Amino acid sequence: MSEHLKEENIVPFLDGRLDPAERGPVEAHLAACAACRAQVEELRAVVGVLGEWPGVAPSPSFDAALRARVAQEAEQGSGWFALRPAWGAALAAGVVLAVAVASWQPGEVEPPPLPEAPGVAVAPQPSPPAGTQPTQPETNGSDELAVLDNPEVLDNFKLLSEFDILFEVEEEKEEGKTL
Amino acid sequence: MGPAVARTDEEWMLVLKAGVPREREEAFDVLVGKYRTPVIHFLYRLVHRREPAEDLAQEVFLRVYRARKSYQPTAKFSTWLFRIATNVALNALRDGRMRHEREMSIDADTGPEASGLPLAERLPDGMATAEQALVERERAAEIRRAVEELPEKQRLAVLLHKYQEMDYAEIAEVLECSESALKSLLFRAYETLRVRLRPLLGARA
Repeated sequence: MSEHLKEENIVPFLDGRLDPAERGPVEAHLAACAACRAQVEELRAVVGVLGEWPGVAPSPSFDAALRARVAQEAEQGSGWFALRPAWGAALAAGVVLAVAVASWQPGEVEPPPLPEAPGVAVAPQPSPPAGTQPTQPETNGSDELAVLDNPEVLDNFKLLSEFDILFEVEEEKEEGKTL
Repeated sequence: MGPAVARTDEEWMLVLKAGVPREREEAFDVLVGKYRTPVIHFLYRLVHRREPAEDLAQEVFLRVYRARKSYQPTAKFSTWLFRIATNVALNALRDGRMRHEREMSIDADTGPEASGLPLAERLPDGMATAEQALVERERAAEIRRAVEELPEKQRLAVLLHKYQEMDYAEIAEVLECSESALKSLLFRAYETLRVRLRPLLGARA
């Protein structure tokens, strides 16, 4: 049949979604070609028969189980860090930085800007020369954070998901709530 | 109680991304409520049993939750969701997690009862007989086997087109191919099924 009709037109024709400009020639060919007509009708029938394969209804416990998994994941923040010592170290470094900033005496040098996302593990920075303060969280001192500057890594869905969890864990701690 | 505000899926996803916890919870519930059945159906037709399909569906929604902060509404939410579902299912099938489940599958979930409704409620009056149920179950099993024998990409295309009723552009995006290639892919899949399932065409259940 593909010699008579374009393959890519046949399913859209069956779906009734073929472009009107293409539909006329297909209908004309089917009117004139009994073999193609029979084949198209069988295709239509088989698409209908596929509907006899039923799906399954979700278990009544599906939502509760899912919510439990989400809540568990949020609550396992400390365990998650424990599994990744380098991240834990980065977080500890961030705490040190936060303490240092909190105890900063005003009237001296302007403190470095804080990262917008609370809880982002920022490694402590040596005092940079005046006028060279970064506007984004610095990444030196932490390989894990340095990868954020790598565009290839930013395309890595799994790794980004892990960053998301890091942000979320800290956010949930601050809010004192979990989803 | 339904959501107080009518939002698109993409808007709910943005609430899940940036809302306060109570709003995020509502957004997640709305999205799960809308897509749990389609996602479970899709995964069930790939792994053939309810329990592993639900496990994978939970993994899919968990990934949505985890990835919410990197979500960008550049594509339809459903496209993004089924891309995740496809990846989760294929990873599970390829790493052997589902092998045992599939080998153990003896169509236990492929009967009329699989819809979750009692047989008598699914069949017209007077047809809820054991014989009718057996015929229906055999036909469903034959269809399942025919779809399962399709090459992977054709199988996914059929599941998304026939059972999820997604449009060509969405399916093409999920399967990472052109719309034109998808239409040819679907034709070849249905052509294989036409030959394979011809015995079923003459005698509907």
